[in-house]
Amino acid sequence: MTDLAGDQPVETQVMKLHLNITGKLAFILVVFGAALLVGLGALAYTGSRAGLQVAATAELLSTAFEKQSALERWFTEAQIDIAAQAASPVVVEQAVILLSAAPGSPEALAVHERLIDEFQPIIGPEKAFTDLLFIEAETGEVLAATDPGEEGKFKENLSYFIQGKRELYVSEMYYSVTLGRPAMTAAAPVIAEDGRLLGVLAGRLDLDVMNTIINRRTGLRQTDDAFLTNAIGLLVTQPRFISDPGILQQTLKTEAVMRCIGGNSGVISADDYRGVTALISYRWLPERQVCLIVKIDQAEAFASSQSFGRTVTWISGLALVIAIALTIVLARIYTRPIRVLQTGVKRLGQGELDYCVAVKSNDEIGHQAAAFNEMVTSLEKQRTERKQAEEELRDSEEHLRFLVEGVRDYAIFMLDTAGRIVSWNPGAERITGYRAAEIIGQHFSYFFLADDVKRGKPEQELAIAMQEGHYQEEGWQVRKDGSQFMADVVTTALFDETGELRGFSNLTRDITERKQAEQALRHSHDLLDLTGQLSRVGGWELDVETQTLIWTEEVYRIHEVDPTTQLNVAEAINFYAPEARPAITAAIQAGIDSGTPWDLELPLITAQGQRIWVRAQGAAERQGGRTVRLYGAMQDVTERKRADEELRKNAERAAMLAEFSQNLAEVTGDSQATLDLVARRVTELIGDTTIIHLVSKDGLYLDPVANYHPDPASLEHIRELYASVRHGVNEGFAPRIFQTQQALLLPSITMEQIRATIEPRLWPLLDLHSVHSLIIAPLCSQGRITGLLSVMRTQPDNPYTPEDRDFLQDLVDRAALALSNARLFSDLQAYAAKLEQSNRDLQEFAYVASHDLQEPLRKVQAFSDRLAQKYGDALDETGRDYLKRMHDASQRMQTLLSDLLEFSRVASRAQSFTTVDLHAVVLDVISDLETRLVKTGGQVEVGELPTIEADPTQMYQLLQNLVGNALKFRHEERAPMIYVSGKTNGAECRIIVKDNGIGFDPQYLDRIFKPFQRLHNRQEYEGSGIGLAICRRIVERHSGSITATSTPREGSTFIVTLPIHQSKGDSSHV
Amino acid sequence: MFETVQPAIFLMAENDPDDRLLVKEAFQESRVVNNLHFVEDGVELLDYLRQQGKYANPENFPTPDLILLDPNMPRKDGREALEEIKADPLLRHLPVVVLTTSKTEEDILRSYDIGAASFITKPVTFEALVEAVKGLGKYGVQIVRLPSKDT
Repeated sequence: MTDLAGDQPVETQVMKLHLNITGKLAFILVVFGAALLVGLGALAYTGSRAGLQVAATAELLSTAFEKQSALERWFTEAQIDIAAQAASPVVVEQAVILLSAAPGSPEALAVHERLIDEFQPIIGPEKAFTDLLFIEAETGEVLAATDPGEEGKFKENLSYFIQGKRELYVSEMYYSVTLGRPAMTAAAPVIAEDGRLLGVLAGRLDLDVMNTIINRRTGLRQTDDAFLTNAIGLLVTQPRFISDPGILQQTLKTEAVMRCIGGNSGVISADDYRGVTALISYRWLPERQVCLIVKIDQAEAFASSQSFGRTVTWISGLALVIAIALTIVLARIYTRPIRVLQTGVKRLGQGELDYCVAVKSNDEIGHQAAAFNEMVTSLEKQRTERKQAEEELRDSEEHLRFLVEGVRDYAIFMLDTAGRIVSWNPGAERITGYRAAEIIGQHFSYFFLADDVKRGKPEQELAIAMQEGHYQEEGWQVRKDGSQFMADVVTTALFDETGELRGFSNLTRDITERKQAEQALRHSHDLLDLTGQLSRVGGWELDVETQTLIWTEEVYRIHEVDPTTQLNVAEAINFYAPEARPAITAAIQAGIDSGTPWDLELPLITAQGQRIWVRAQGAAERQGGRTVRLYGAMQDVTERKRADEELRKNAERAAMLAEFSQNLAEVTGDSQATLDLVARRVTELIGDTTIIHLVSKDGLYLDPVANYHPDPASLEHIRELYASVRHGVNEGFAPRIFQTQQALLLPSITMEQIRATIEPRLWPLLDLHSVHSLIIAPLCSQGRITGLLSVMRTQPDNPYTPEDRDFLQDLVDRAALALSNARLFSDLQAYAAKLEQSNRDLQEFAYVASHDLQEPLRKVQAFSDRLAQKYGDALDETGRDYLKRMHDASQRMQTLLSDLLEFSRVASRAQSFTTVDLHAVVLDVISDLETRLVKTGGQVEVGELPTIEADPTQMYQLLQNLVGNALKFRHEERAPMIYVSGKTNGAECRIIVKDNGIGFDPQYLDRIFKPFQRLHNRQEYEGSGIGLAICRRIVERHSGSITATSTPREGSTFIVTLPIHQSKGDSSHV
Repeated sequence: MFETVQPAIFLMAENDPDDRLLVKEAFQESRVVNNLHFVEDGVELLDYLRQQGKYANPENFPTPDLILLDPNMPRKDGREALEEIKADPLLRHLPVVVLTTSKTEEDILRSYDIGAASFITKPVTFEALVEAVKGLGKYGVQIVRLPSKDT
């Protein structure tokens, strides 16, 4: 049990042990316990079974006995009943009479009646008998029966009759065919007083009662059952488990029954009529010749024992399980220490030295555990000590390694005494490109330039290092790939305690980048200097503490001061123009106080007295919350300033020109208003006063048309004076301008000079005002000079500049354009007014003419009619013909006049334009021409027609004329076909009226639209020839056009073009 | 109780002698049994209606039942006369038919504006004139019954 040692791993051994202990215990217990329980259980079971058997048998027997007794009792009662009945004096008496009476006689019947009455009480359900019979002794005839069907039958062969003659008799049970069921009869002899045998009284026993007796159950059992069979095994009562009453006709041949009818009684365990094993009690009743079977299912009988058996089994099983469990638990408890120990050992094996076996018991196991713990503790201590030592060693190594390895920017390596490389670091690799493997062992002159090596530089360095202790130099070295780099090298000689040279250490730094940076800085410095010079930007610096002011060369240049001069802040500020000094002073102060930077453009006066503009910028350097240094730049921006000023002035000029143009545009076409406006605006823009002259119609004089002076009094005065003197075109400065066609600038002029130029005649004009500066500009229109505009400065010291002259010319050009436009416009207006007037006159005339002409015409017609009517008979044929011609002629005149009237009305009766649906208008026209269409068989096809802005009545007239014409000028051989359609083309629409009539020769296209122009005689076609002229007039009024095309003899197409929309102008114009 | 149909009295104000003649003939042709009187201008018309001047005698110059008026007459033209008639309470009730030569609507409207009972455009043919007159005649028959007769 304690074999811990061995080759096997501790684990499995202990496991096995563990199992063994628990297992063994459990096994033993199980075996022992099971055997015990099984044995006991079996005994108990069999015992109970036997007991049950006995009990069941006893019960059966007692039930059988009880039933038997009941049966016997019942039989006995039946017998007594029948005997009593048979012996009853009444019955005897009646029987005597019945026998002696003649059959069928009233006597007989009465007696019969009485007998039956006597019998009644003992028959029926719950009575012993079902029916009674009285059988005559001699013949065996049934003389009286409670069942009338029996009367008259003969029973002489039946046993109960034969036996019943002699004595009280109960038959066997038998199956009665007539009744259809088992039956039993009791009989008794009926003996007269004298001892004569009268007959036999037989009664059929109610076997239901018997059934009841047999089937009576206690209710305590489930499967109890009882039945009777007769001597041949015929079932007499209904067994419990057979419901079919037909079974009563059959015999039962079970073992129990067989034994029974053999005359035996007993109890067996056998299969019953169902095939179920039952405990069966069978009793033979010899007196009755019946077999009584009482049984109970075996299963039920032994039921309790079976359940008992099951219970026992369950309990045993449970007990067994509990026992096993208990065993396991106990075993585990006792093997735990071992397991703990086992775990500890295992952990130890794995190297865990901190595991403590927790076993507290005082037995062998406990002692073992304690020893184990001690061992573990000591091992642990040893290990810890060793680890510490190791770590310390590692740390120091590590530090060293880090140092050397970590440095990537420096090459650190060791040389031996001969100068060969014995160690290498990543820095060295990085800088030189050599890997440790390839360089260790080589001489360190590998890094030196070829020339240096030739000169013996490496050896020299080593020698110096040995002597001085170390050697340091900046110089070019070469990498593995051949590229050179600037290196800073320190070589140190290493001596041991004895002073012996052990080797050298070398520290090299790649300073190529640094050197390059230094160079770049120098370059940019130079560049900055140059740039400053070129852009005229200088730099300055002020040390706030020491108040030292430093200027670059450029700043000196800007100030036009000798560069060697030393200046202070105050002097520097003084260079600024007086008005600028406060600003710069404040900026500097702000810089000092709060570090605020500045960027100002200020005027400055150089040492040479030049007034220039400078841009001064400054910023502050702060340390510890105070400004320690101010620095900045300065630039000469004079040029730029001037350029800006130019630009500004130009922009201003441009704006003024634009405004001027705007003003001109707003003046509504009135020449004079335009001129006045120009004079005023020019004065406002250039000043101080303006006067405009226009060349007179005859071209000889320059007439003043407009002038302007801010002072109204002066203005008036000027006007008066100019009104009095007429300036000739060839006088004064005018000729010069006419010749050059350009503006004349006299920036400064004196009165004398003017007087010298112009005629004395004009000198009075000069009294108006003094003129100090003068510009005269020509007004040009369509290449000709139409006038002159003069501006004058009346104040001195403000001369006009060439820019002013150019500006004025621009103004004047615009003015000239506006003026010519204005003039054109007013001319146009005047002309239009005249035209309108003449049109109106014409229309009135046409109207009145045609109107008044009609009156005499009417008279002519009327009286010629009257003449024809009244005196027509008095005239001959010729006379009447003359009258007719007169009438016709005046008729024609009538038509002509009304056409003329209509023609004139196109304008006079014109309505304003409104929305007109041309399609609807055409339909109206067609409906109004209905009669003519029908008459000619004509058809009009109307296509799409647009809706346009037009005079509705006139549209109707237009279309009526066109369609009417198409009908009028039809081809005589065919029905007129007219197509009217329209198409919209953008802002216009085209209406087409096409017919298949006679057409016209296209060379007469112009003529047909003229008033009263006809292409046919009046005999051929009626009409005055004004229709198409009216059409044209209407169309023209609508700003449209009309034309036509035609093929003679085939048809014509009239094309009307009309705008969709009419302008909002005066619509009543022709 | 039968009332004899008294012929209606017509008064025509027309300056044109031809027109006067034609109308007279038309009346005769139409066999309208009416009396037709003429005046030649607006002044005469008003004198007639007021039974003044040479028209003082009502026997010769009875108050008409219907006035035919040419709007265009010298001295006082038809329009003026019509205005006066309609302004005068005694004459207002007299129906006035304006005979125009022109079909212009302006004339028509103007006529309506100042209370013409109706207008007729002077027909061109004589037949038409006769028809127009016949129409008047029917108009005239009805006039007879107007209350104006009784006052």
